[in-house]
Amino acid sequence: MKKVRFIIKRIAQVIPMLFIVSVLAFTLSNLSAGDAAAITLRGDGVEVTKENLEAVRSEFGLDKSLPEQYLNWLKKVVKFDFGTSFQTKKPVINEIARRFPTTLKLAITATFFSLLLAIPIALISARYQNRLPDHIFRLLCTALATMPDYWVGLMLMFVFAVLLKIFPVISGSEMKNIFLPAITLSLAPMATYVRLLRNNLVEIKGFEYMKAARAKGLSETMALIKHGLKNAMVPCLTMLGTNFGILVSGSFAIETIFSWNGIGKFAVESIKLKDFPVIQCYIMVVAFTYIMLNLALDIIYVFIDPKIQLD
Amino acid sequence: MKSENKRLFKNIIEVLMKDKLAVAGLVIVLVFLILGAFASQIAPHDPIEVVLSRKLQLPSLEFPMGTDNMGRCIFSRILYGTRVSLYNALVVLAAILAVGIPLGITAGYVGGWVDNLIMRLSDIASTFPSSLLALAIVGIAGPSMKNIMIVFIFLWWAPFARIIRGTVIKIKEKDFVTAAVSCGSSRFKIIINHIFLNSVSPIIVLSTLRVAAIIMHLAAFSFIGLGTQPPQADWGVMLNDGRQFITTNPILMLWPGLAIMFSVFGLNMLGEGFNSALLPISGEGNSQKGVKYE
Repeated sequence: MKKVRFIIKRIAQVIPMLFIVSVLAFTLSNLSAGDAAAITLRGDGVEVTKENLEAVRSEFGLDKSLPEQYLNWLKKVVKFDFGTSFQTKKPVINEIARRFPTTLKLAITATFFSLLLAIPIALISARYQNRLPDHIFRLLCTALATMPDYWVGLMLMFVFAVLLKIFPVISGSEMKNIFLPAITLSLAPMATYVRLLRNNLVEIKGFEYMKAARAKGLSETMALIKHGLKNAMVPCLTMLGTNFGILVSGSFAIETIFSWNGIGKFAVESIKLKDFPVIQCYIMVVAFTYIMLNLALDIIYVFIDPKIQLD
Repeated sequence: MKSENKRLFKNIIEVLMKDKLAVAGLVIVLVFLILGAFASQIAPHDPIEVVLSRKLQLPSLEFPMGTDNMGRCIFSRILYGTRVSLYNALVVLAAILAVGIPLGITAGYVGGWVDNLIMRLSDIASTFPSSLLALAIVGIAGPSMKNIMIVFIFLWWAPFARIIRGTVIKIKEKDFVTAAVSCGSSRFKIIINHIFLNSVSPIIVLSTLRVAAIIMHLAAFSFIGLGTQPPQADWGVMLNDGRQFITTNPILMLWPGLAIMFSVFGLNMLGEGFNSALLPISGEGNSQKGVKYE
């Protein structure tokens, strides 16, 4: 019963968020429609006078009341009609859809790297708690948390692309060049996972079932891997999901630095070119994905973690 | 009461001073504050004056960090960038406090549906992806630092409101408040007087850490061209300018990067230091070195 109440509350929370996002996106589309009216007139070779503008505006439905315009806009959005991009003259939704897999590839690889690094580091830190390896890794993680990712990206690019020439400076969104942008995006989340995992593992070390595992003859390390890790991972899930949501939104700075043609880079370019339909579509698509992903994770979490407090 | 406060304050300073990283953080923060405050006095050159005849020079006595692709003195630009970064971050922090504290007091004191509404708003604010809102606001109102700052004010008041609300609820029903009210004092006044004492520690810790995060985020938006606009001196803008010269003059992107890194590092270390000195119960392993509140 408590679970159902929590889920209903959580879903109710999503509705105002989606509303705010849609109002923001609608404002953008409204701005673009105003410009588009003038552009249409000029495109048709008609002088931009007040009367002409009025006529086109009423044709676009811009003379209606704002709530009415909002509903009309919403009807189109539900059908994935976000208008055409000013830059490419193609339907915006196709442009976003075309770039989304590129961002997704980067997000998955970065998440994979962050776990690949975080799990062994956390295990070593917990195994040698308050000894040298633990201290070194803690310092490393603190340092990583204070370095902005775009600065780390530039430094990695300088070392591996300019000095060592292992990777090209311009990655061109090719899978074989994914290493640098992915590792850049993985480091800051990794630092937070290590911190959380290590503390969970240290806590678990004192539990009865770990004593039982050791009594069975498992070494300290094996006991941690076999019985500790799974339980320590559970509380990390929310964080993993949130981070993945952020990565799927497309990192503006990292995609720009490595010229990785994902949706983040596309959105930034569109802002500079005032390509409103693209920005509008980006906001709707990304916000929807992000909000739903987090909602789904919270609901899954209710069922897998018995310790969760639902109040 | 007063001498007790003084002793507590002395105690906090003592604990903070024993924490070497916190002291390092404090020194770094003070250096940046001084450099930013006296940028116009210290800077040897005009930060935006373009002199193409002296472009891309290596560090020398005249130009301690060299010159950039426009012949501008990098050292002077870093100094003015310090001023811009710190000033913007402190303005954002002040605005966050100005929004968060009254909302927290209202939520905790009034309770009921008002509390519910404010807390639901804070849930939305703390889960809303900041980059998305930034993109929307910048899309509507155009790229500028002011617009980016507004985004962070909109979203980051929530934790402060929550801390204050918790404190208000905790002391609202305390016996001494009820006693004072029955003697004719105003309940609201008593609570306001006690909020300061009871929530100043978590607010200081959170504020220090948030300033670091704000500096990092604002620089990121300047870096991708949606925040401070060139030719204005700003660490993010300078990093982006330097990026074009990664193969030929990598030193250009070294300076602004180091400035961002050191300021963020200093503030974080200071914040962690405050955390273990002021909030001895929270956080693992901090209880041994924390201040004793007897």
